This record gives sequence, C-alpha cells and structure tokens, in this order.
Amino acid sequence: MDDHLSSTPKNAIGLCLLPQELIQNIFLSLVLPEIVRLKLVNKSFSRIISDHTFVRQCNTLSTSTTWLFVYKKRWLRDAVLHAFTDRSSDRWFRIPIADLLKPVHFHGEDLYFLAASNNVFLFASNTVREVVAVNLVSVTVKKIPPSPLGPRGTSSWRRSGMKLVTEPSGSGHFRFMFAEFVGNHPVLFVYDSRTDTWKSTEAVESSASELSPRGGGHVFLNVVHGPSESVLVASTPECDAAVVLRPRFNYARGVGGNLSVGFSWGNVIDRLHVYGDGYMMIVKSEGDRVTGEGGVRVLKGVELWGLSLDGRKWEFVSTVGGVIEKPYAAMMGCLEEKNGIVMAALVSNCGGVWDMMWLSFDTKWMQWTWMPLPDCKMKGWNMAGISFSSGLTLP
Amino acid sequence: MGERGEEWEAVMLRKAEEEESKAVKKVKLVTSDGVTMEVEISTVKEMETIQAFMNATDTDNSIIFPLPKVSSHILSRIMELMSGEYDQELVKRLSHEELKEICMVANYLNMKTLLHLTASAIANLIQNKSVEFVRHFFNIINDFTPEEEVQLRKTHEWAFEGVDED
Repeated sequence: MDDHLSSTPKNAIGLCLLPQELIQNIFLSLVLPEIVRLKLVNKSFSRIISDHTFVRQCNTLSTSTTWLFVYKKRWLRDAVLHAFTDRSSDRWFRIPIADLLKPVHFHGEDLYFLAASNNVFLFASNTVREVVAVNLVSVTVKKIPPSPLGPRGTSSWRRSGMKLVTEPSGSGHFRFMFAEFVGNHPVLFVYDSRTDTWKSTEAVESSASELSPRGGGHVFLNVVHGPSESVLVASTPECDAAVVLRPRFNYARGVGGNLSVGFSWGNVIDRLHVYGDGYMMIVKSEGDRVTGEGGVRVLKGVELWGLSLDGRKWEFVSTVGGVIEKPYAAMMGCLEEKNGIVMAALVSNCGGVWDMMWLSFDTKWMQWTWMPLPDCKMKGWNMAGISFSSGLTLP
Repeated sequence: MGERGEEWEAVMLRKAEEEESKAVKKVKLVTSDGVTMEVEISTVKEMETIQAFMNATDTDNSIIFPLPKVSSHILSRIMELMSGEYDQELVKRLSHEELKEICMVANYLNMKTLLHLTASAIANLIQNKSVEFVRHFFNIINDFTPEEEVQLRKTHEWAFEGVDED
C-alpha cells in the first residue's frame, strides 16, 4: 500500500519543500553550460530552469559575464572550442562543435574561428573561403553570403578590423562588420542577418567637431597601423555612418620612464600591439631573436593606450603595475572593451607549450588585475582563433 | 537638560528590562528525536521563524518550540556553525547529507546567513558535475523517458562535455 511512498528517497521529498527561489538561487551561482546541463536531471529541474523569471535573471547575469573562447584543433573532426570565464576561474569548458558544423559540409576542411558574441560564433573556411555562423543555443548553422569584396581566405580576416554584434533582444540576429581599404579609401562592410545582405559604406574623413569617445558604444575597426599613425573606421552600432580616424602615435612623448628611450623597434625592445574597441595594448619584451636561446624573449611590461576624444591621437591610459616576467617564443593577443572594463588575453608559446594570461583594466577605478589561465591542454594542437564574448544566454 | 535626563532614564530602563528578560527567557527547542535543547534567546534571534512566533506570543516564561523536522544531530551542527561564526572550513567538513538538511532547516527557520552559506556550498559541490552526480546528490529519480533524455541531450549537446569527475 505504502510501497511507492517508501521507495521515494526521503530527501527527494525534502528537496521539493525547498522553495523554487532557493533552488534557482543555487543555480544562479553556476555558469550557463552547467545550468543547461541540469535540465536533464528531471522534469522538475527542467521546469525550474525554463521558468521565465529565472531565464531573465540568468541572462542578465550571463550577459555581464565575459567569456574567452579559444578554438583548437588537430583535425576538423576533433575541433573543439574551449571556453573560460572569470566567474568560474579554475577551469576551461569544452564545447564540441564538430557535430554542429556537419550540416554545412566542409568535407574535412580546416576552419578558423573569427569572432563570437552572445550565442553566435563565426568561422571562416580557407579553401571554400566562406564564413559560417553557428548559434550554439538554437543549434543552427548558416552560411553567410560572400561580402562585396568577394570570397575571402582566412588570412584576409584581421581580428582588430572586424566586429560581431548580436541584437540584445535575444533574437539570435546579428551584424558582422569589417573595415578594409578599397582603392585607397577605408570602407565599412556590414552584414545583417535579418536581411541576409551586405551593405558597404565609404567612410568619410572626420571633421574637427566630431567626437567618438571610446567606450561610448561606438564600434572601432582597425584598418592599418604604421609606426606613427593608424587608420581606423568608427561607426555607430546601427552602422548608419562611418567615419575615418587617423590617430597619431607619439610614443616618446606619451610615457616617461626608461622603456620609452629611443625608438628601438629592433631586437632590443620588441613591442607587440594588440588592438580592439578603440584601445591599443603595447606588450613590451626584451630579448634577442637571433642569438637568444631558441629565440626566447621575455615579457617585460604592458601598457594601455586609447583613442583621444577627437580621434586624432593615441593617448596613454595606464601601465600594468608590478612585474609580469614571462619567457616566450611567440605571442599574440586579443582585446575587448565592455562596460568600462578593458580585457585582454595574451597567448604565448614557448617550446610548444601554450600559456595564456587574462588581463583586465577597470577604466573607472584605473585598476589592473591579471591572472594566468589554467592549462588548456593545447600541447600538440593548433590554435585556430581566439575571441572574447559576452555570455551565452538561455532561449 | 531635563529632557535629556528623561531620555537617559528611558534608555537605562529599557536596558534593565532587556537584561531581566534575558535572564528569564530561555528557549527550549524540541527536536524530531525528542531531545530538548535549551538555548540562549540571542541564539534564536537569527531564527526568524521562531522569533516571529515569540513576538506573537507575549509570555514571560520559557518558550518551548517543537522542531518536528529537525533532528538533534542537525540542530547541534547548526549550533556549531553559529558559534563558529559560519566559518567556511566548518561548512566544508559537513557531509553532503548534513549540508542538504541544514540548508532545508535554514530555509524553514528563515536563517538568512546560514541559508546563503549552505546554498552557495551546494552550488560549489554541483558545479561542472555530471547529470548523474547531481541526481545522486539530490536523491532525484530521473523521470524522463529514454527518448526524452536522448532528445534533450541532443538539443544541448554543446553543454555536456568536459564535466569534472564525480
């Protein structure tokens, strides 16, 4: 008679007595892949996670969470995205995408990871020279028609010259923009997933009165960089107008201190420039490429520069206090600004061993934080793209 | 001056009353296994459910409060946590069963600090764990049909790799 009652574990009853809000609060301390996974526990958990109020709370938290995605591969079939967030800072999440990419039939072709925003990830193929958009949460893949410049190989895409912006409504629609010189003039190209078309706008030279403050919602796309001048295209998020900015760079005037002595662009002091969202990070290293041990250099310092308000010069923002010394053979990085926080990831390789560091700078409090990222088990693999992104969201 | 003096007197009077009530009032908590635990009134302050009951029943005598859902073992664990000022290390030493029960009691007695502490400890335990681990942890029986489970896994395939060892 009481059979089914006594076979129910006593804490299952107990747990049901916990109010939904409490269970939801427990879930809200987790990050999205973990929450999604809990849908499978049982029907009641699934219902709790699908609850509208919970989805809204969860997505609000999630959109202010920053993720770093690294695409690594040996072959297409084992391609995997690694995801890291500072909200769960001791691990990398593995996101398999080989199966997701199956419908677009790349025939075992190599893909390169271009950009990410919200649930949308863009990949470029080298031989077919196409771009595909993958939506992780709606589980859809879509080919983007060639831009007005025609099909592009992976090497044509420059990280600092493109930007993916998803609609905040959660519709999954997005705009993908990039800037490029066409016949000696910077042009802004924008793809809108709503119309599935590209639009090109020739950028106009900025007038003296025009202000495009960095961190103010403008999109800044880098076109070229010379040692003393850069060319950028600034646009409103709606992409209705594009302006050319030509900020000048005077390193000697910008910073005092011993590292700015002279213009040693040679092998004494190396500078790696990482650009994004109207900022420029200068990573300074010392070492000798030729005589050093296997070409090992040592990272010596990191500076952050930003576009001036009128876009006419790069101005010094801050330098990382303290010492980050790190030997490396090759280094690359990516940089993004969001809600007043500048985030940069520096990826270095030393003797086949990958090493990653996450730096962030709070522009309001002028404060740096940085941390080494846990091992991503990259040894023997290739890195095929890196990007920051705002958090994934529940549908 | 006169007004000030009166105010001062009133404060002293109130203090004296409080001292007196402290001396008199004790709270007896009766657990599910019939153990009576006598606790200081200050201890009960954090248990908002009991506090509300005491405010409602204005009595000078000791109060007996039955806790039919709380065992003496769990109640003494809670007392340890309270006297240890909710040290994280103490929480880490709890078994999974204790942690869940304490969380439920904290919710029932409306103990905010303890509830927050145990809820985040549970979140830490289940983070990046497999579905099977979470089911086991909460003693939950899977009520999905195998077909439904396959379908759900397929829809959210991207979220299932790289979970920690149970």
